[in-house]
Amino acid sequence: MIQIPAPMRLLRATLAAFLGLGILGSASASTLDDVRSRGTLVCGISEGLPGFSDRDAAGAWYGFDVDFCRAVAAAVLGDPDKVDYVQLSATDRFKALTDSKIDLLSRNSTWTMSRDLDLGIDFAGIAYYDGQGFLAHALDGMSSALELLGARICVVSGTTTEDNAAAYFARNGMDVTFERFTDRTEARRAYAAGECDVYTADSSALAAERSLLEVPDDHVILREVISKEPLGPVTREGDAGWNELVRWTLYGLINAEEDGLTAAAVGDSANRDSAVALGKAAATEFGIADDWLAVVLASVGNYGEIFERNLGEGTPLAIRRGVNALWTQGGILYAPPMH
Amino acid sequence: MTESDLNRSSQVFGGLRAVFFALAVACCVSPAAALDGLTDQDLATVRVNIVDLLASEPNLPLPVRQRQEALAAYYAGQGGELLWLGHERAPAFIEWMRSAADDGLDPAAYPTEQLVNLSDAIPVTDDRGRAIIELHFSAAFLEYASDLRVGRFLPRKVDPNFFLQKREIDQLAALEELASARNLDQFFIGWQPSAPEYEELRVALGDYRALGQAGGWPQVPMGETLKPGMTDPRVPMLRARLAVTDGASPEAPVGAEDLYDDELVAIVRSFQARHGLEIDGLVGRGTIVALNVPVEDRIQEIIVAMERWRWMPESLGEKYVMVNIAGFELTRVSDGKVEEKMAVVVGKPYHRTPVFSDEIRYLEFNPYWNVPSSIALKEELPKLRKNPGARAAAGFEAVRGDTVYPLTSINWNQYGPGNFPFRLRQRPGPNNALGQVKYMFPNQFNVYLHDTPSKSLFSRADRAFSHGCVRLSRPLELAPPVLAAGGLSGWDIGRVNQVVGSGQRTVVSLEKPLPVHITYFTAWVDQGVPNFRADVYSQDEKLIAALGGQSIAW
Repeated sequence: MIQIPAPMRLLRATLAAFLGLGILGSASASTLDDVRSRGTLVCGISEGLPGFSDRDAAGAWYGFDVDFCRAVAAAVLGDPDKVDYVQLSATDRFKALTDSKIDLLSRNSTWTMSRDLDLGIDFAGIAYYDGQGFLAHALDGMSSALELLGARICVVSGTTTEDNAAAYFARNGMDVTFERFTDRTEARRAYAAGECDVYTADSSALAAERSLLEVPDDHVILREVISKEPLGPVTREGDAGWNELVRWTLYGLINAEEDGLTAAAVGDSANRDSAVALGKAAATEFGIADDWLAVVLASVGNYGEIFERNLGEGTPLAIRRGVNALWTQGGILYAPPMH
Repeated sequence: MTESDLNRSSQVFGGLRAVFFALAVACCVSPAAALDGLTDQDLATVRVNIVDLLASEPNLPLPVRQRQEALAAYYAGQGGELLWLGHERAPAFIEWMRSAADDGLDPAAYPTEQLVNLSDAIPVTDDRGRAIIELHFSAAFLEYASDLRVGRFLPRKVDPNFFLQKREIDQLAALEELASARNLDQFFIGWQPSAPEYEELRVALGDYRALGQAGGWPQVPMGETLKPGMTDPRVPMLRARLAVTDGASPEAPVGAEDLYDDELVAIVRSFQARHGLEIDGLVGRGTIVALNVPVEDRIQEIIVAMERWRWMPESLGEKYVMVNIAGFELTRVSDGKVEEKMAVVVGKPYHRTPVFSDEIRYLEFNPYWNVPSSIALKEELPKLRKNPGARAAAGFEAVRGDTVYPLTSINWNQYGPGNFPFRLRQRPGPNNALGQVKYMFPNQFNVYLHDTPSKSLFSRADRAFSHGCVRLSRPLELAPPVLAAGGLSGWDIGRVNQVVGSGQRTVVSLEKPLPVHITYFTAWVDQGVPNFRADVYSQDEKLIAALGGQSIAW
């Protein structure tokens, strides 16, 4: 047999499509059709991360990732409440997608090349520019990670977090030691008890951790961000149309912020017309309602409103927009234009 | 002192930090309880606790651990009296940290309010808790003292072209000096960078901040170049702008409000002088751009200059030569007095003159110019292939081993990159690229001060043209004082001219090397007048970003 550099990716995609069909047991051509005929969006979220996906007293889901599920439901079904949420662990999340258990994954997931190429999934865009940072005791007066010579650092093991930090301090010629914990609760307790000088994790998670400490104001997040963790919604590979719909829902939220179209603003008919005009091409392409973007904005608000409501300085997380500000406001949030 | 004194505090130390937080929440003691009403006996007990903590406690806060050796040496040493508990220094230090901006530092970088809260939260009966407060104060003090004196950054982290060593303060000396200082203010005033230039900038910083708070200055619109005697509706705006910083009278002569009169011209000329612009009294684009730089940017430039002074060597030397790259100027200083200033040409932005300090060790009159191999291959070889005779006439020759070859005796088409067994050099003479003298301070960058045949460049306001070396506008005039400062007598200008006139290469070594500082300052104060220069190498931009945490953050 002649060995050919096999187009493995294609083969895998074909297999996935075949298996997918088997599981669905239907002749359904696309996720969009599935969602339409089902009348609900099945959206994968995390098992609970303050600010991103959390439950209120009544048990209802809310958060940055949850709002994105709601936005897509509003775009496709005209109703943000038509979402079934599926809680997924870090290990199960991508398989749930390839196994067709969910239509969309909106669960603080970092876009990397190996995930994109190896897992049979497609990222639809970047919804949040995250990165690894450090949480420190305010009393210690640190503002930069470069002041951490000799520090004991709390870290949850089994992630790339420790490697990132070790590489960072090696690069800067600084000796530090790591205290490893199996989960965030343990790491947080140890940090609060002074067993570590700082706690490292992705900045968004640190903001969540900080909000759970007894006196959040006694803790500061240092200014350095030492890794790139672009988080975004994910769809199954092989359904380009659905991926595009999700992508332009995200870009619609961002462009709406740039254009000053808020949830309140689209109540006014001129602004509503602007939102309709902005979403026009997608309405034609996907056969969704002409006013889909206006409905999305009325339901969840634009990107900035979603951010402020769930993560912003008025929330316990108190995350500043930083790099997640629009490119016109000093950030790197930049959506292609929607003509 | 007994074991029970040491452990009077009932807390398990491992959780001390957690206990502090709990206390901060449940705070119900009177303000500053931990600092008030302490007897000598109390203080002695706290001190014993401090010494014990530093000797044996593994869970000390990071800032204390990072300075553990110096703190232990101080508190266990002779004297070693407590510096903060029950002492007026503590509130005074809180005030210093709150006004860190006066020193060009960032108040948010110090745990000011946390120290206040901590002091409030520890009950008077808690000796260990009070010991920790004392240590936290001392650690924060050492951080501030270090930032103030030697800066916050490793200069090379900010810009690889800054070859200054990060200095470190002597922490034990700082603690001891503080203990013996009359008060905290006296200590910090004596501790800040000792160069008078720093203190002048500090004053200017206060002045410009006040201008900023008063709303800065109005903008002057672009337009046709204003010439003396012209009438233009922008003149009142120019007058208003210069009234804010340059002493222009805000009231125009009645009936001549739009006239660009002699008085205003004189003020524009002095504005141009202090901004390194062409001093021509014409208000063109360059002058308007400088007029319209907002006060916030000028404040940043002052802060950046103050930070760079912290990087300078502790002592510049009794006599020294200083080049300011951004000012295109050399100054010669003797006993704190500027004896001479001279225009210089520095490296182009792509051939930056590096920032470093060294010592002039010898002068070379009528020097050969040894062409650096990069220039030989890139610039000289093509000329040699075309017309070796012309280069020979310009004084160049080729050297291989010990043999000197005329340029015309070699077929230059045979040679190229990877196959160039010659050194090129230019004999002394009127065309020599280094002119009649060079001042050598052998260094890894191959940078020195020298004469040049291209005199015309000195009349330009911006003078970044060289490959990195510093070209002097009056190179021979510098020789007698440099040689005298170097411990050689009998070198007047007559003797210098004689040596130069001989045409012979002549090396004169200094008996005492003379410090030379190659610096980069875009702001300084000259006889009370703040001066600003363009950021010719974009170094300010990087340092400002670093001060804001941006070069390392997103």
